[in-house]
Parts: sequence; structure tokens; C-alpha cells
Amino acid sequence: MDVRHIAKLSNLELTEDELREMEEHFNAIMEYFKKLSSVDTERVEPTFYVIKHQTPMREDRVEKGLEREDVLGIAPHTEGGYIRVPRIR
Amino acid sequence: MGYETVIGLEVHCQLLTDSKLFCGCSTDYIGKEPNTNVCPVCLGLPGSLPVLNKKALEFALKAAIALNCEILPYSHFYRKNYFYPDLPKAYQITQYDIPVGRHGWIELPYSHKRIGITRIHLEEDAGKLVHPTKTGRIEHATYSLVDYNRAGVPLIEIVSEPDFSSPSEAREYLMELRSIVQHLGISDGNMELGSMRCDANVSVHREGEGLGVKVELKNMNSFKALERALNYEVERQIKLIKSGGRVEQETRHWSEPEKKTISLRGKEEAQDYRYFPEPDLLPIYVDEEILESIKSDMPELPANRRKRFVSMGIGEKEASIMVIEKSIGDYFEEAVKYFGDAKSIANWILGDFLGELNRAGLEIQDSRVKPHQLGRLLTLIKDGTISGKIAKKVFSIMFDTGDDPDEIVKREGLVQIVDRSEIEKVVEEVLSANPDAVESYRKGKANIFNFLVGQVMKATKGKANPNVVRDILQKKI
Ligand SMILES: [Zn+2]
Repeated sequence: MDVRHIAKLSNLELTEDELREMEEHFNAIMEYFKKLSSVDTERVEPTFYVIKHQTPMREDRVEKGLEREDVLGIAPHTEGGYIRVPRIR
Repeated sequence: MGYETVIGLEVHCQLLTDSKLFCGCSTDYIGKEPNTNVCPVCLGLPGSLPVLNKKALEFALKAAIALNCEILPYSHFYRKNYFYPDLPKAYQITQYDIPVGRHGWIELPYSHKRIGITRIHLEEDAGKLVHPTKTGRIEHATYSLVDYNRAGVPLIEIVSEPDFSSPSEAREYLMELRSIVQHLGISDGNMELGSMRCDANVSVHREGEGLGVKVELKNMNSFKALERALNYEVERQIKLIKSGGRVEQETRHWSEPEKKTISLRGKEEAQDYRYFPEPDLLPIYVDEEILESIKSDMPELPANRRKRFVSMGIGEKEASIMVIEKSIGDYFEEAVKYFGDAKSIANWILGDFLGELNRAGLEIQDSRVKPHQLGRLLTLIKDGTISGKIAKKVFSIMFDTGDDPDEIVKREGLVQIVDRSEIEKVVEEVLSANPDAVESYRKGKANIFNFLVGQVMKATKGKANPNVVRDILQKKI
């Protein structure tokens, strides 16, 4: 399991210690999946959803959302009505 | 040895629903204050749940039917995970293995080539990022600003087969696709405003050899930009191969000011989106009932409209131009109600009218000249009230003022002179004022005749009926 790659995809910086710890967790999870993989699923259709219902739908109607001050209030940094974030490289 | 080009297009169209794909926020985000059009769902706040907009699904199905796709009775949504702040959830809700429709095709209007449609699926749009810098270039920015007003607006993505063998074919396809979504009323297809976006895959290879390496092109914001970017990229790849180099698999941005494609190498490494089924939504079942109700509500599509226009007496090329932009076709059909000669209406629209519109930078639906007024103008020509030449002048005034043609003709005193005695008087004046011309005409210089007609027209400020003028001149000279 390439923990470093997963961390990078999520833009997370991990120390060597953290990497090692994560690797242990990841490997434990992967062990479970190995157990699942041992089941013969040759003739089984994949189950994406256990509930076979049509997804609920809404009519196309506009509803009032949040006030801007509330939106910006939960952001760590804002500027001129925008949410300010570190530049993504 | 020659080279062959292989191009495929990926087109995104914003759907003309009132509300977003999974929440009730408005889709009307252009020009709005940042972050004023958001709610817990499109901000991805914990505990919120998306609910599918029924109309967006119907629009996607309409597109799939119009593009001759196989409609899948079952499809579902996925999470496409990527870390970028334009999506607050860190994933986009999209479709993956089972789209709404697949294996379709459209026929191009001019070349009549059939282009395969690989798939069409529904997904949500992302927010907008601003990178404030003095240079305006993203690499010089130290931070970014995010506006989530656009996040969650419904899109359809239409992926074509790599069936284009030239940039002009790709452009033709994109224009036809835009016309189709406009006729369906599901998207306005405006590339400049970003409601229609297009990415391209381009590769070249030597004739008779296997396919070349694909380059992905982004950031083409107009039909012209698409064609220019593709032409540039094809040339670049051929040159590279000829000089012994190798085309790299990469994403390149089209820079309109620099008129070239620029590598984005390093920015996007091998993507790993870790798709998995969206657990917050259930599957979509498209049953016969839904399909039948959509099929019964399908409007006329461009291909049929072109045929109908041709059957009204319009040339194939003219019909294509009028259908490629739905609003022009609509205007034409409305005007024909007021003046039955469809060919004349078409000639006026494609001639003087489009000319004036281009000069003014207007769309036909924003013009002050209404269809009934154009019809009336042509009626005035037909019944002999004004000449074709004067009509051009009247039209120009109509275009600027929006006044009725009758009013302009009356106000400016432009009614055609058909009264023979009045014209005879002018003809005599012209003849006596130009004895030399008359002399050389009699000596056999036949083209002097047209000069004399011109003099009479000039003296009457173009109002004399030219046929009457010719007739009288012939007799008098
Ligand atoms: Zn929302």
C-alpha cells in the first residue's frame, strides 16, 4: 500500500512516523479485504446498492440558500466575499 | 509520406434548469456576488444530502435521445475524488461505468459524415477560482479565492468517438452539437460565457501506421479557438515527429493571446480519481413510462429543420446557416408568416441583416427589427412602393431605430416614383445636360446607356422605378 501516494492525492503532509503508523492501519484494512476477496463471486452481479429503489427526485424549483455572512463565517479565511485558500500546486 | 490526424472531443453543456443538480440553489450565477448562491448541499457541509433534480435527468435523457444513444434502463452516480478547492466536498458527483446514454451518433450537416457518440452522462459543475496576482498568471499567485456559486450546476458531458480526421470536422461537430442542445432547449450552448466547454484529444500518425500518442487540449473558448488550437497542435506534433522527436502524453492549454498550446507538465501527474458509487444517492431507473413521456415531448431537431427549410425553397447551404444558430431559424420562421417568399426572407437575413448584426455585435433576437417589420419591408418592395435599393436604406434606418418601414418611407419621402410623366421630365433634363454622352451612345457606345440610367436615378435620389426609367430612356434616345 503506497501511503505516500494516498497522502499526496489528499494534499496531506505526513512525517515518517505518521507514514509508518498509517501503513499499519492501511495494511490491517487491506487484510480484511483479502478475506472478502477469497469468497467466490464468479456468478454474482456486483451489488452497488442494497436498496433497489429509484433515487428520490425533486422538482426544479429554486429555494433560498444560506446567507453569505454565514457561509463566510465558517471559512477560516475570506477576502472580498470569496473564500481564501492556499494556492494549489 | 503523409500524416493522418485523429481527434476526439469531450463537451460539457450547462443545463438550463432553474435550480442546481442536487439542491435548490439557483443556476443563475453569472454576475452575482461571490458565495451568495450556496447552501449546505452544494457546500458539502456535514449532514447534508443531495436530491436529484428531475428536470436535469429529463434534459440529459432528451440529449441522449437526440444523439441516437442507447438509453440505459439503470444508471447511477459516482464520486470522483480529487483534491482541489473548486469543489468543496473534495469530490465531484458524476457518472462512470453506467452513463445515462451510450453508443450514439450524429451526422454532420455539411460533410454528412457520421460521428460516433461514446457516452453522455450527468454531473455537477465546480466552483470558480480566482488567482489574484499582478501578472494574472496562476504560477505567480500565493493564494486563491473561491466562489461556489457555480458549484453544483448541472452539466452533461458528451464524449465523441475519435472520429474526426481534421480540425474543421471537429468544429462542424461542435456547432451541430450546440444547435442540437439549443433546439432541445436544454442548454444555451454559449462558449464565450462557458455554458458550453470543449476539451479535445489529438494525435497524429504516419499514413498506414498505428495511432500516435494522444495529447489533451483544454481552454478553447470559442469555435474559432477550437479550430485554431487543433490546427496548431496537429502542426506541432507533425513537426516534432519529422524532426525525430516524440510526442508526449500530456495536457496542454490553448493560449488565445499567444495563439499556441502550452504544456501543463508537472501539474497533472497520473490522475487517480478513486471512483466509487455515491452512497448518498440511489440508482436511477429509466422505465418505459419516463422515456415515452420524454419522447412525446421532443422538439424538431436541426437535421429535420434544415430539410424543411430546403423544402420551403431555401438553398441547402443557406438552410444550414440559419439552423446552426437556433435563434436565426426562429426569426426566419416568424418573418415568413408575414411575407410568404421564404427565399427573399432568407436572402435578407443572411445578407444585410447579419451584416448589420455583426457590425453592431448583436444577436438576432436582440435586434430592434422585429420579424413582422422585415416581412412588411419586403411587402413594400414587392408591391412597388420602394425599390430594392431604397429598401436597403430603409432597413438600415429600421435597424438603428426599430421604426416601422412604412413610417420611415413616409418620413424620408422614399416612395418610389412610378409616374411616367414625372420620370419623363427628369429623363429629358438628364439628356439635355449630357449631350456628349447621348452623342457617343448614338455612335454605338452601348454602355453609356447605364450611365444615363444612373444619372436619372441620382436625380431622383434613387426613387425612380428603374424599369420605367430604362423604358423611357430607350424611347427618348
Ligand atoms: Zn446549494
